[in-house]
Amino acid sequence: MYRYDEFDQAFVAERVAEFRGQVARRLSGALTEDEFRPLRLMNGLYLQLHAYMLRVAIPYGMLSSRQLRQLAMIAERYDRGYGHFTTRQNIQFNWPRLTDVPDILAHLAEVEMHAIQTSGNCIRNVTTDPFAGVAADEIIDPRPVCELLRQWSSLHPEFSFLPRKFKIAVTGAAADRAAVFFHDIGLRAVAGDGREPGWQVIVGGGQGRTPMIGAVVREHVPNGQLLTYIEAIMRVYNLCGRRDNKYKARIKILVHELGLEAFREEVEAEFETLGVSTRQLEEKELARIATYFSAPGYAPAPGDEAALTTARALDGVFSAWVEQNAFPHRVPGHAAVTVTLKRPGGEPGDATAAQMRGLADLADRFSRGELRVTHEQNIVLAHVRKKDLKALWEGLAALDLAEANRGLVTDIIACPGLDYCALATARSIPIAQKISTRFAAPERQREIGPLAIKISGCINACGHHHVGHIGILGLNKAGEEYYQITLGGDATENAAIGERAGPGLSSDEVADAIERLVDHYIAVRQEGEPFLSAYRRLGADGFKEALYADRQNR
Amino acid sequence: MLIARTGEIANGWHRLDDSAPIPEGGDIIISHRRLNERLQHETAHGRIGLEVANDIDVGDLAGVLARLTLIAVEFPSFADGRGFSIARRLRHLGFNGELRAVGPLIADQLSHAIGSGFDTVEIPTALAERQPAAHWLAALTTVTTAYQGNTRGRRSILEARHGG
Repeated sequence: MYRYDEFDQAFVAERVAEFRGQVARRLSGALTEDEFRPLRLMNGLYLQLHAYMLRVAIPYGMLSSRQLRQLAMIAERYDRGYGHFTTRQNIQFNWPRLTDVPDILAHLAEVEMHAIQTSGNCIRNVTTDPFAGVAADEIIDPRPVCELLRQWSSLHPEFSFLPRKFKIAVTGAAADRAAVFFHDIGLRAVAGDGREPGWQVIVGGGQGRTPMIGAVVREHVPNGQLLTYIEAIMRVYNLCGRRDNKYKARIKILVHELGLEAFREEVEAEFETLGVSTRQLEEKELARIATYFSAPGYAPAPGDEAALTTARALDGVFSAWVEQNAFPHRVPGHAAVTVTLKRPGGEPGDATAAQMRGLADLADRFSRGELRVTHEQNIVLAHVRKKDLKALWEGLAALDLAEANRGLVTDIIACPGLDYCALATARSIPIAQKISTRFAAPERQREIGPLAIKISGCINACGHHHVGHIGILGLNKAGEEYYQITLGGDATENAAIGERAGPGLSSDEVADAIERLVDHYIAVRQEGEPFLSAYRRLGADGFKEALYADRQNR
Repeated sequence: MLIARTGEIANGWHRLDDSAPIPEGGDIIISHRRLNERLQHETAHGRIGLEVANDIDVGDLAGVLARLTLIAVEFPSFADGRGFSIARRLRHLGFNGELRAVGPLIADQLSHAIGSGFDTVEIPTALAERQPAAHWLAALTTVTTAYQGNTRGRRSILEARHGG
């Protein structure tokens, strides 16, 4: 994975010193709270419901075991012993004190980490496919471009006071595991047809209160011109994006109001005026960064397949975990394993300091000391020998992290909701807990098959409910929390926004309603047909009827 | 207070009220709506500065840039970053005079202003009392490295790495 050189290290060290000075000036009154707010946000520090929350960047989700141990130390020393992994491949600490934050940032800098631009109206942490570099369907490894974007966007003089936050996602594979159609800018690798490797650029996607599927603004930008093209998009957005209403300030609204054609013309005109001098530099830098991501020298593993088959035959629980949580690796004899942070009844995405240390140790033993955080709030170990899967699984079981539920009904995405978040209108975590408890039986989960439930505690959609096969949106009417259900959302290359099923449900009704919905699906599905396919084939009516069956009977 | 990368500097320019007559001499900053009037005032001498709002179409100025010595870009709020992109566009168009950011910017934005192509920042007096020049200089000198180059000759980390 990427390692800082002396320039990167000096940069984060200076940023820590800068923030220390900003905190001091806030405490002295030189900075008003209004002036301090964007500065602390640009260092990932939110003022939440009960306390400050620090969001630490995990650039494109890549973590070393050393970094994870440092996060565990921070969780213990400055927080309450746990951290929360988010849908943007970051980690959040919910209880730091303002005066401790500069020290926490210094501890992060010790392990080549930071909290730069995890919040604020700037370019946020770039996200990507957690299987980057190992997926069999990969066209271009997206991580060098992600790292180039991380550097270029860090403390960008021109683009740090944008109309609104700005999120970029990159996928290098044929399948989209980074939700590129739901970001301000999405990049998809393109190659072949005699073209040099490059990127399809998608713009104006997003969730929130106005969900939109992004549109292709350009079919192909060569690698070495990508930053220049993105700079052109950013400049048009910075100058033309709305600033009169924060709910209409995202680029998706600009694209929508201007129209894609007019927006494209603006961007292309800007792109034309920018010189070519920097493009060679980008190529050189991409080549330099790429050396950090060259495939590790995998040992040939001809006997692994047989060893795994034997181990699976002897232990059905282990076998089910392999079936569900192992992702095909491009190198024979290896697997990329998802460790879900979704124990039924638990808090989605949370990990204790002990679990973080345990995961770091397992990564060292079995996966080259490297981990990835996924936008589904799980952890991926990307380089596991198949003969080691059994020992890894046993190690995970000892950490209470061996759930065989990746992509299943209990692998629920949920935002922190009203338990933590100042913006939330309803609780998310207890709803996730009720549903995952209801469906806890492993056989039941496997019987249901692939099903993505996503829960947001407010209209801002941090829990990605719009793209859940079943989406749950928590709202509040006259002091009463209630939940709106959407059906048919899809975050992949077949992007779709879920449709609202009907009236809201009380928190007590949700789990029952979801269960009726699932039972209906099982009754009507064809052999091997996943929930989403059945929903698309049959249409919404039967599913809605099942969802509200109790009301009709009353 | 007027701040440059070296700290507080003297302001040699006079900002002309829109209702005041255009003087025969002296360096004056005029609003955009009086630009033609000043350009056509053939007997007036002295240098011309132009103050523009941050929703201006920079392309409209292309024809007059050569006659301007200073362009001041208004920042209605420190959170409104349009001025940074306007500065970049003016530099791309070849404007080589003084670029000045005018408004309630904060000390931490001096590096953003310079990085985007500004030379100076002019802030209201009340803000200067709370954020004296020393704060601006301290903020500027705390972060000395950047991944982005700028039009005023700062080498980026990328350039340093690759000997650009």
